[in-house]
Amino acid sequence: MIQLWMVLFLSTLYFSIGIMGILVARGGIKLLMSVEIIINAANINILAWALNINDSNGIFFVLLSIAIAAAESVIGFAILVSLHRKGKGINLAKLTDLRW
Amino acid sequence: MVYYYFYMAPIILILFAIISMILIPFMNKKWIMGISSTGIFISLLLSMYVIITDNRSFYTSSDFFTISYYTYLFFMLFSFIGLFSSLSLRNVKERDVSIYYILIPFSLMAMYFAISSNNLISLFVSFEAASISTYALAGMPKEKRTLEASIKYFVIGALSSGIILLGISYYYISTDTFSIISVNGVNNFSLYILSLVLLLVGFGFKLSLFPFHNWAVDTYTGARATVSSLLSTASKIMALIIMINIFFNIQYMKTPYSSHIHFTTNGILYILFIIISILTMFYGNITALMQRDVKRMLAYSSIANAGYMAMIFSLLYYDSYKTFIPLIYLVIFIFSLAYVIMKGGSFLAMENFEAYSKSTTLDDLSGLSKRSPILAISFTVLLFSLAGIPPTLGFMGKFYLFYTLVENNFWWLALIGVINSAISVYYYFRVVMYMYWKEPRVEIKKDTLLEMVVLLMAILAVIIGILTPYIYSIMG
Amino acid sequence: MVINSLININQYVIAAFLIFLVPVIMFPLILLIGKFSETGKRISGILATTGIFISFILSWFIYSNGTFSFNPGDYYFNFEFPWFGNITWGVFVDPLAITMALMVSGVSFLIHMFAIGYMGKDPNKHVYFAETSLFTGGMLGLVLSANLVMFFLFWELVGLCSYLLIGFWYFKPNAASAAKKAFIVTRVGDVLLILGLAVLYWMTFSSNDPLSIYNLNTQIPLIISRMHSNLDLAIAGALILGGVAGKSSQFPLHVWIPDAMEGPTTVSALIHAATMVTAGIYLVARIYPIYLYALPWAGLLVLYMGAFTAFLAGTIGIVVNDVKRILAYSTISQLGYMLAALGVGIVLGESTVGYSLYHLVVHAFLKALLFLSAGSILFMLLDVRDIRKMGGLWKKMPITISAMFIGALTLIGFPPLAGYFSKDAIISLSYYGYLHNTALFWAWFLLLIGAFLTTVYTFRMFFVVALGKPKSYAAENAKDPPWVMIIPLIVLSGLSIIYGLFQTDFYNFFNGVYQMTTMHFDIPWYIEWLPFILVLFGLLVAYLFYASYKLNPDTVARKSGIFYRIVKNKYYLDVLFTNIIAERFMVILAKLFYAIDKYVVDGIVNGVGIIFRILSEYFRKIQTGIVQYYAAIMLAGLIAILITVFILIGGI
Repeated sequence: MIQLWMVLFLSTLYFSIGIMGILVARGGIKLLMSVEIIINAANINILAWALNINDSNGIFFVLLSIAIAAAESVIGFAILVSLHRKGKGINLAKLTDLRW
Repeated sequence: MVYYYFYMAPIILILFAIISMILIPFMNKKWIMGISSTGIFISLLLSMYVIITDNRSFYTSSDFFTISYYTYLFFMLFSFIGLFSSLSLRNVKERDVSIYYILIPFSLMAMYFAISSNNLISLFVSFEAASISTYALAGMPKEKRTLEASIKYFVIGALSSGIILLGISYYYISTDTFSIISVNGVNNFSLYILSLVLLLVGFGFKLSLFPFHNWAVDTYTGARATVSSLLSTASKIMALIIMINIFFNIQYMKTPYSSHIHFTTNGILYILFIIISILTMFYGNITALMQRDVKRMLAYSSIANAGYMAMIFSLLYYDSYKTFIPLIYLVIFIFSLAYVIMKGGSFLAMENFEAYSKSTTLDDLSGLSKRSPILAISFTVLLFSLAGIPPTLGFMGKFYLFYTLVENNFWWLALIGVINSAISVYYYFRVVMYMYWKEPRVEIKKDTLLEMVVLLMAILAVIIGILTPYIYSIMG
Repeated sequence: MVINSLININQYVIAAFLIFLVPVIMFPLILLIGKFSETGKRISGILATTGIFISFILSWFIYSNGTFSFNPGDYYFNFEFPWFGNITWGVFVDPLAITMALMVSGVSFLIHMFAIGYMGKDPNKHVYFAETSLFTGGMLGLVLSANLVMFFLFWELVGLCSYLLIGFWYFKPNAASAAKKAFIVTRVGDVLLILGLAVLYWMTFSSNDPLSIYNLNTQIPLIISRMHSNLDLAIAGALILGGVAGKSSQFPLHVWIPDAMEGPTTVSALIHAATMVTAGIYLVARIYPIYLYALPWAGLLVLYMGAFTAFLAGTIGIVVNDVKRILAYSTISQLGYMLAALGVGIVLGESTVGYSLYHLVVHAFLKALLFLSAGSILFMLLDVRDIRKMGGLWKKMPITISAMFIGALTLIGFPPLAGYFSKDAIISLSYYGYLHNTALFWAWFLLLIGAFLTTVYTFRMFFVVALGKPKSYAAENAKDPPWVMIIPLIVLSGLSIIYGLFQTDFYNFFNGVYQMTTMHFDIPWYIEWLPFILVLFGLLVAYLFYASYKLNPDTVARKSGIFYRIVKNKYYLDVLFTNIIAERFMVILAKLFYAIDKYVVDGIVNGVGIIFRILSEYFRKIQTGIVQYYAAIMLAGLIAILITVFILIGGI
């Protein structure tokens, strides 16, 4: 039997991995992947609870949030591609024109 | 039923404008600009009409949205600043036209749905729609600075949407529902308080509260000024209203732990909000002191303003917090009206410099009164309003906010707000000093239309400022 | 909060707003067209006069309606808009206000008309007319305002205009320093007034419309009974009286008016005789219930301040030689009478407000008349102001001096001119008050002596100016001024002569307000005629000294020695204020404050500034530009919040 704490543990693990990815990733693509992982960590929670209490709202919401995550990735990719075309690379640590 | 459709008219109209722009291919530049601006303008007029004719009687609610007088009140602000942002866009490349002029009304519509949501599902979807469209707007036109601003906004935005989603999931687990307004019971207190904190952080990012503010400074500085004017006003007010909707509507309860301290959940949240708002105000104002880039100074001052706005959450202290909702909407409406006009107007004034001299430092502004007296005087009025000098709207906004706090026994918090206003006077007046007492260094070309927009904002800041007490008494 | 909705606006409300808005709007208009065109300069006087005439017509329109109220039976109307918090702004019109509005706009209209001639050759006359127009608007706004906060704003506005107009000929060093003196002395009063208003606000804060004139007139007993004692009320009244002393130039703040005579004579007539200086009297009358319900010492303070000033200014008036300063001291003295009449009210009830106001109106007419005729003399004599250099002018400029004669007779209260009905009524009133309360005896006595002194200084001036031989070249060649300056003189003379007929009507108009009947003084006939006997005696004295020269004033002066010196030096009040308080005491204080300011305050401010700047530099460094740092800060913030929550709830 899968307990609530197991789900929470899994999602927290996922979330931490995603956060770590965002914090240490130098390339933009890894960052997008990390964002996907964070969003999916939350999705696991919602899906598990929706199945637990037999609520269709939760399942519906997970579908929506997957779509939103996709849209977010698209925009992220578009910005990264444009940056790449400007010839400056997509290393986030080097984008420091705007500071102080 | 027809009655309800009439009240939906502003938002339906803007939706039709977007769909028609997307569906009809090969539309030329002029048409897209025309349809977009006209659509926003008519929905502005319609929402004003709804507000004036409606006597706060109109209220309809479904599982996902609550549409009422107040949602249109704030939609009016969004479409106001949206209209002037799209009017002030100059030098738009042919292939970028559709991006700007479709995304601006789209983001306005998404913001409208976000503030009228009463359910975390619809709230999250419309919030993300608004965020995603503004990520793209911040990156336009595709230059190095704007793209950098955009990617920073995107990274922090994506992280915070992950945090919001996690918060929503904990909220769902602890209450079995996504609804904000009807919660039957809480089965796990720890997860519940955790979810509220996560939501606070996630939406606080959008409001640029300390310490989730860093992106805002870079993004407002890097993005082009018209987009910054939209981002720093409409988008922030949306986040504020969402937070008011959430934190003043949900059910709070006593903590099951430590029986000797009877903290309630709202008791915890009000302390958090007070700490955050004080830190935000001081951080924004103190950091703005030494900024030589005027646009960046405005960005810091918008952080300080977020701190003023967050002070209103101190009313969560009272267990009868729900009775404050109309008052809070009213006070926040006047504050945001002031904020939209003066901050939006200031950023639009910055557009003038960006377009021609590529930078917005104090040196670029020095001697402005000799080169362009109209722009100088209207920018001065806007800065006075930001600093809160009496007859202007900015003073009125702060006055009613602080007055509400004083009336509800938070005089010390209001005092901190007043001290911060006093600090802020320094850096606003420094700009005025540069404009009037220094010799011009850079030649800029004049842009009459932009000057007229800024002038209009300045006039509105004075006239509405004088009329504010009357508006307050009508609505209050 | 009394909020009348817009539906309630009727023509009277609009008229009441326009009364003070029209002259105010004229201010920028005249300034602009005068700046940009010569024609504009020429017609600036006509524009200002027209604007004020419109105000007069509107005031008359409201007055002629009789019972001007929304509800039949009421004697007032009150129209308020919300303003700050629970403070409102709007108009409050009742017989008191409308009488003042009629007086201010009417007298101001005549003086403006006179000024078209008087200021005709001044290169900056558009500035003059713009400022007097703004002044009149401010004064009318003060009269009609519904709230003491709004009242105070207009009070400051007229003070500012007074400052600007005294210093209108700023190139004269005397004028500049007089303007400064007037400004500083009235500021002292204004500080007290602000304190008084603060006390009143504190007392009425809990009511829904604090400081509203309507509430102060109707709810004072309620306020006292609720939570405050009448001691609070007396303190508020005394502090407000300080402001009144500054504006209406009562002892000891009366020192600025004689110096203010350095401005154009029309300014002296308009501001420092007829209208602005009466604002203080009006304020006391406006919030009269405060004094009525306060501890009696507040009212006695009003009474004795007025009576003493009436006496004191009269004595100085006898020894001054400047024609305008004589009139200035006479103004101070007459204002004292008005204030004393208000003070008697604490014994006799609030219907004495009517007596005070009647004297105020009569005094406005006669003092405008006297100042304008003095103005004509100065206009023809090229600004020679020493009466010893005039003389024999009755033959040279008959109309002007006849007008002055009428004015002088009215001022001393010679029956049957208007002054007799107004001033002698106040003296009788004070005696009647003495019959009720013995504390009033000395007030009556001072006022009585004041009547004698008034006669002496007025006719000293008149005899020296009008009779005898011309004593200077300018006086020999004087003639009557042009018609535009004559007409106001004739109108004002007519008013001074016939206004006494309307005494009963005037009191009845006021009695509507206070719902009391006109008093019949139950006093002995010889007391009633005593002032007149003293007036005749004073006339005799003045005649012997200054017309027939049977007695030599210089001999008397020499014999009285020290008394003469004291009076001649204005009781050394100027010396006290300027040489001792300002130059000795205040300079030390100023040095002390400067030191504190420089080393302590500046030190703190600079220190705080430096700290903020260092902090600012440091905070900026948080903004590294690397987006992952931002994410890390955000997460650190999240963790910090979670720890805070953990501490607050004390468990998981």
